Amino acid sequence: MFNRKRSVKGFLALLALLLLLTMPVAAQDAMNEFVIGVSETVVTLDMGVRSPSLAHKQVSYAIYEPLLRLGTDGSINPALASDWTMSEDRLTITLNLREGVAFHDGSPLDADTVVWNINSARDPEFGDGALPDYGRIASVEALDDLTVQITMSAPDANILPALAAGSDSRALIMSRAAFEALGADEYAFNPSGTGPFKLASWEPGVELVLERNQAYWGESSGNADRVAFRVILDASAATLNYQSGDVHAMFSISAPELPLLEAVSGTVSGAVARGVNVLALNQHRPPFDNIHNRRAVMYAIDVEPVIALVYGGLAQPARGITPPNSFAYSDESPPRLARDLDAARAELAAAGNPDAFEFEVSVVAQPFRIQVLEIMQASLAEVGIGLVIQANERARHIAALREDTDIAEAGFVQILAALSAPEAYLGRFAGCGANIKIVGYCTDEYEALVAALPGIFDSAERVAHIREMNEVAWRDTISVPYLYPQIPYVYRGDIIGDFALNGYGLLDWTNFTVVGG
Amino acid sequence: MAQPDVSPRKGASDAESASWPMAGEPTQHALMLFCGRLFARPLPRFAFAVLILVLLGALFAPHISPYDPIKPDFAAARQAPSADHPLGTDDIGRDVLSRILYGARVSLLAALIPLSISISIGVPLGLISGLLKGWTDDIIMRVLDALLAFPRIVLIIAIAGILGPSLLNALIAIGVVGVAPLARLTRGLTLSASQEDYVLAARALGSSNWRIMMSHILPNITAAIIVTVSLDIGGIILAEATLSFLGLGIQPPNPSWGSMVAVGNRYIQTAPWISLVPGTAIFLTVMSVNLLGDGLRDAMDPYLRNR
Repeated sequence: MFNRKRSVKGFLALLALLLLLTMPVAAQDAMNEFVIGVSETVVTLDMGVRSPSLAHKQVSYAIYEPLLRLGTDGSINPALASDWTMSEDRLTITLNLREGVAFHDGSPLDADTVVWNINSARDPEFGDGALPDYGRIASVEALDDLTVQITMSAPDANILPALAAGSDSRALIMSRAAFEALGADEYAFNPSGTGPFKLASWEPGVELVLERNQAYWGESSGNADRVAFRVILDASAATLNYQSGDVHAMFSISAPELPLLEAVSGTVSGAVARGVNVLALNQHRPPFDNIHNRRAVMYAIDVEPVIALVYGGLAQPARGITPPNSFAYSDESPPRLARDLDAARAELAAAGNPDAFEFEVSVVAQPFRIQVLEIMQASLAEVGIGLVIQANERARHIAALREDTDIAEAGFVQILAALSAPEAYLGRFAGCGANIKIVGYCTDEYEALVAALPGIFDSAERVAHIREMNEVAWRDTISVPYLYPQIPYVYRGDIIGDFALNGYGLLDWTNFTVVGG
Repeated sequence: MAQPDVSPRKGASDAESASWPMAGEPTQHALMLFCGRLFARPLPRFAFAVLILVLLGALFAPHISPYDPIKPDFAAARQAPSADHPLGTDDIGRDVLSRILYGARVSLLAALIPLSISISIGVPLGLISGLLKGWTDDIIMRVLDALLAFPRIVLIIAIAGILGPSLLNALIAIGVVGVAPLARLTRGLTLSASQEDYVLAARALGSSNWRIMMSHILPNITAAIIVTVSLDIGGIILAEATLSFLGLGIQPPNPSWGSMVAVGNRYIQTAPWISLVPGTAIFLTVMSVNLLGDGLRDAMDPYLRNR
């Protein structure tokens, strides 16, 4: 039978319960928390595993720190190592670690942990295999609790940027105690570093939340307590989230969305140079085993519509693999990519196939990448070259680039070139030991240049050497670097106050402030 | 020895059975009666008209398309609908109307090829399984159960991924995945029909399994299969759209409605027509197929049609 008094009591109890449940939410709102929208899912936070996504880098460099740190001017600065020395023969590097630094799990940073990290990164069986940047390290040892000595098999000008994780996040320092206690699989979701933020919660594919590391050893002028990385794969949905105020910043957005995002009140926008886009041509087989066919493609591509329609003007035609944000970039040579249909036809004639040819390009099936290729398709068709788009899922595309050169005659490649470590892309993109196998360019001349680069320590000589490599690459048209993209970002200036990008082109977590905090 | 036809039409009462073509009755008359019932209601008429339009658009696309569907015009990129481009232009200046007309071919192919595969494999498997029973039934059904255990779209993506990205492979994947549900349906109908008096009578007269299957069971379960298949067509068109959206269907620059929606998604706020137009085409076609399927069910079901 209906009992009015009991129902009212029940209703009030339910109301009280709901109020109780909402209390933590209210408390959370009081914290200085902001939300960053990301278009990629972070799949692991085990630094032994390579992950090229920008979201992964943003999170990794918040949780972990390197031994040395890159400055915005490309300089090498102290980080977990307070200072270092290099012997005159450049074969021994001694690092002095900071005292009193602790990982998020409470274990101390000591020389044994650093030795374990460097040796793990050199181990072909660990994570994704040996880190190429450490290829010239012969041995690592702990001289005492806070001193690490690295012995090189040969001098390497790239070793300091490598220790600064300048080109690969696998050089970031993990907690050995946490890794060994949890095992690799569990550690991947329970990371422990020394960074200014630590993992608070993580629902893979949905949201990853970082919270301030109250025991951070370094100076931090920021006041943000929590940072949420919310995964929004669809660009339109991400824009709607930003417009509604659910997301406060986005650091990898597509050009068509930019005007919509900039129209949101309080928005500050900018763009970060992100390396170079290349049409990687497969020299293992026809038609690109013939340099004239490669040059025909280079001359026939019209990059201006790509820049206007896909990048909203935020890109510039390329002149070689080294991008403008590298210290070795030259705005004089090699020549900037410019369309010349007569030259393209002449190259086709020189190749002995005036009727041109057809080739397949492997690309990850994403609309904006396909849009780029559709525009190229139209421009190449004007000289009779047929570009067939092979839209693959990611694994097959990577196989086409790195393993199975029979999949396609070309590949869509984006190189996120590191500022301070040109070895990371010049030698890995082309040359006999390149990990982008599809290019297949391996000559004695270029190989000698690749091998000599790590031994050149003088800055001016180094720049000259890299420019020479670019000249050779252009002369032999090893592929077609076609534009230097800039990736736009936006953030709510009325919510996020102080904001800067660090030497990695990522958020500087030590000065991130929230307005009113 | 020729066997007498002892099969009545399932579910038909004495009065109703007069409307089905019996021995010697002209089939044309039955067809007219059937069409009369099907198109007596406005919704099937509307659905049929839409599908005819889609069919004509697809067939005559090369003759009625105002522009080349794959040739971009960079200067005309993302133009709103106008006299020059009645449905606007896409992200690189291609005419949306022309791409819709050519894309209709893909959507129709997307319906026909998978259905042919599903029917030609699923129906015989279901018939054999339901009629022979025993270990034959066990083996066929366990294999099909294994297929059914996977989520449909995941299985389609896996098969399309293994075969490689192309329209034909995507359609084969959709067809293969459609085999299991159709075989299960056919098996159930066969099991039910095989207990009917006319099948028992045929057995008593010494008919072979083959004859029972082809002459007595299949004609009596065809109506139910047609209705189910027609209701599946909408899902198949959407599956192709999903595969194209994921890049596993038709390869660019060839248009399909699904890939057009995927491209336009980036411009949903600034140039909504790029995805809304193909989205509306998918919606109208799928809805029409479903409405026609409903109409077919109503027209074939002796109980529903007399309501």
